[in-house]
Amino acid sequence: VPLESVVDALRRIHSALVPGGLLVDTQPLSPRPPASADGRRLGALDMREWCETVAAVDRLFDKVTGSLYSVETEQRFVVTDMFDSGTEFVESVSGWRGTHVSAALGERAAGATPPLTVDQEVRLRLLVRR
Amino acid sequence: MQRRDPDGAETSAIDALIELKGRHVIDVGCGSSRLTSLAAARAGAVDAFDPDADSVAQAKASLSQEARKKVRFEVHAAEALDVPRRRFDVALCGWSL
Repeated sequence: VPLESVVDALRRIHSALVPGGLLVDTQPLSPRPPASADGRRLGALDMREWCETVAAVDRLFDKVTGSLYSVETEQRFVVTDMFDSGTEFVESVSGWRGTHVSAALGERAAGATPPLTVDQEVRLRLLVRR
Repeated sequence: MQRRDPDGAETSAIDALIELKGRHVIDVGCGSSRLTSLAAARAGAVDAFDPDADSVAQAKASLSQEARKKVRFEVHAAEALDVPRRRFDVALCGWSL
């Protein structure tokens, strides 16, 4: 993700918001989110690359855009993604940015009983436009 | 078919946190309308955009006729956002920045 484009987007959103307007930002933050099927754990995705991207955006946010917004509150919760087949699971999650699926997990998913699920911790931040 | 957040954890958290009633909302990177649906049900008006034309088509199709009347969809990236200054009360960025 080009970090400059994130900053540009935050500036554009800032301009579009009324003073005191709210920005709700949610991001998945699990480096190794678990994948399961039929109540059994199949393994975990490798999303460390994605988490590095989020961390880089956070650092940039603090430096460059902290003057544009203040963080009002932050929450965390779990969001589930559900898939109707192992094939769909592998095709979908392999396309997520900064996400890798091991061959072993792919094989276990292919033979698993649907639905397959991935549980990710999500951070919600409520930002107020300065 | 992939279903994100079938339990509505994310929309419930947002709904509990902020009042959308009557607000003018912009949904940044709306995808297939997970948050647009919430905004359309609560807000006064919604602008939603995403760089993926297929996602925007899905989003349009997923809304009820009543909800659809409140939403203006566009296909473009956040970097191409070009709207009048100080127009929106709330911006929703769900997994999109």
